[in-house]
Amino acid sequence: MNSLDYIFKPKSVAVIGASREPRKFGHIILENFVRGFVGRIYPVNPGVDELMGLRCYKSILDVPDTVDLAVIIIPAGYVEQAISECGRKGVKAAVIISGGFSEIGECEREAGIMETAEKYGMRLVGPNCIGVFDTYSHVDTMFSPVYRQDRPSRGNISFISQSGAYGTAIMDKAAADNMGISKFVSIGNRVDVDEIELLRYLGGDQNTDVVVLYLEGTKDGRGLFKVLKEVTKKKPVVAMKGGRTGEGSNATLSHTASLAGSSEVFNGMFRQAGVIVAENSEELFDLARAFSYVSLPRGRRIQVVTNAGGFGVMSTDEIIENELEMAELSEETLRRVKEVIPPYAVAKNPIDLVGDADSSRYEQVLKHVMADDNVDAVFVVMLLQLSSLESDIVDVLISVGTEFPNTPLLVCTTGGEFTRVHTRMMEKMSIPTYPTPSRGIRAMKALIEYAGYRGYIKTR
Amino acid sequence: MKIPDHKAYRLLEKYNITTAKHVFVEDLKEAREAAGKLSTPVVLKIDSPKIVHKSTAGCIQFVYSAGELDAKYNLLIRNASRKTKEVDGVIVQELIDGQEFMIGSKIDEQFDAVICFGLGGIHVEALRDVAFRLIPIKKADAEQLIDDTRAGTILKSRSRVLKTLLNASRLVEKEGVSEMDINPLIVNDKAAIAADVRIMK
Repeated sequence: MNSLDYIFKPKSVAVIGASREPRKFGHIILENFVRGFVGRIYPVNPGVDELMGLRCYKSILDVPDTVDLAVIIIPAGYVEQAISECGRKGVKAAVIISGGFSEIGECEREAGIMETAEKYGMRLVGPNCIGVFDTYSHVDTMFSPVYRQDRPSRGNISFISQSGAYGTAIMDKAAADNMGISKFVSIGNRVDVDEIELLRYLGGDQNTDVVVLYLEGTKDGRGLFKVLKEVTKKKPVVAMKGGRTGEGSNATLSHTASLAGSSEVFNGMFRQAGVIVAENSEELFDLARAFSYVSLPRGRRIQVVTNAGGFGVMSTDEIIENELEMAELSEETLRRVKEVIPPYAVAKNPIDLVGDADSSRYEQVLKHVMADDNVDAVFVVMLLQLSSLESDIVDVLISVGTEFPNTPLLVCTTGGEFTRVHTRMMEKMSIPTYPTPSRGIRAMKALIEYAGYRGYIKTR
Repeated sequence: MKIPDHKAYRLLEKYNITTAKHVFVEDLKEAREAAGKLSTPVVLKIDSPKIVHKSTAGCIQFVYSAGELDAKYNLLIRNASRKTKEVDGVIVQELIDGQEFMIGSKIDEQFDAVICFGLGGIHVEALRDVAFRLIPIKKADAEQLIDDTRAGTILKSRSRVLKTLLNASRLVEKEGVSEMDINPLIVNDKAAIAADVRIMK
């Protein structure tokens, strides 16, 4: 058994610093476990007898049972003592939410907790972190209450973040956008469990198909490079380096040194390791969603199907500018497409179904297009402002996607609330949907590049 | 510590990186001989541990005809002496035409030795068209490194630059180089040639 299993799928959990006060982290975290965790839960707080219907213990040492994971939410000065007691109790791992360690210069205090944990062979996440969220085991140490920060549903994306707050916001956004998540880990000061070990773990995790990484720096660059190379051979890793600007290089002797900011080097390392590099936080999950929902393409030829000429033009621009290719339909497909579209519609690439297209016109055309061997991926633009397009276009896209699982289908739809409602429906059904052609095609490019890296596409 | 430039050129040659034809000279008489041998036009460059940015210090002079040599040489020495007394000598070098790229390396705090490739010349810092990889690089890494830059799209002699990148990676790895600039790396139909280099150990 991997020691990190005690963090992601413990059988029993102690919440040290569980609180009666609804706004306190110790209350919210206990509530999280009570809400969804199926294992045993032991609140620990010397001043309380009972919490949320559970018996509350004065010390972890009083818990009458084995404890796999302790979540620690007490003032920094008491953490080492708590870790020591956990160690004596035989606790396998602890998530230390508390801050007040190396991030404010208290490095000795941090070294102290690490030393104590090591003595007992106990694993540590944090300190100074949001901790762990797992939609499969319902471990949830996120201390924002659900009315402020919703929890996403189950999915296959796992997210390692050096920033806890960013991760929190993303989990909330993921829930609102219907993007499924497997695991989220905020690594905090990473005194013990770090991004390298987590990457290796997620690389072997069957509930994770896509790994998303937000990092500002690493303590072991070569170790990170090595593990990334391993993981990207199995599943896509989408990463973003935070801290692009910051202090420049101090050395000014060479051009190279002055050009080599940490993010240039980081991004070069990412690419060398086969990682998909995201330019910004929006792109990070735009790309992750595509990898999460669709299979990898077997080539770089894209067919665009639209009900709006302008969006066809914009999509074409993006495809060419991203050095992808416009698919050329076979004559057979062209003939069939022409049979099902009105004479004033355009059957080439983009196929413009024009403004009066309904969902059945989309359906008939898409079935021919998806089946064409000359097409490696399909980009569907649908403007829902046009009244002939009914909501059942969502059903059409779902059924076409299901019928042709090997041809990735990405959707672009731009608009207001009506469009957003449909976007959420499609996201719920794992159809990657983007608000602009540029964002959709950028995701397409990432799929194609990674497919090339994995050897699914013959090099030109 | 910056190693003398004439030794830096030797180091490049040791790793099969083509350098522009040059002669290291210590006085005007030797410079005249060298210019005669290389035949004008030539360029004169100060070789000094203290002068890193040569062109801005007036420590690069172009000699278009033999008659100019003495005056340009003396100007070069005068400009250098304003900066430092530590001058190893002068490098007399042939002029080469071609596209200007750069290859560099440094020791990164997090990732140790890294190599970069990009658009060269005097505007590298303004245009910042460079990409990085961790050393050592394989051929596929070098390919991707070139493709990561816009400069890569205009590159004429790709296979020679690929070889130069792999050789430079090996050099940095084996020789314990802490920082290196090959800038410009001049690329034309015939070759990829290091026309200027600085190496720090």
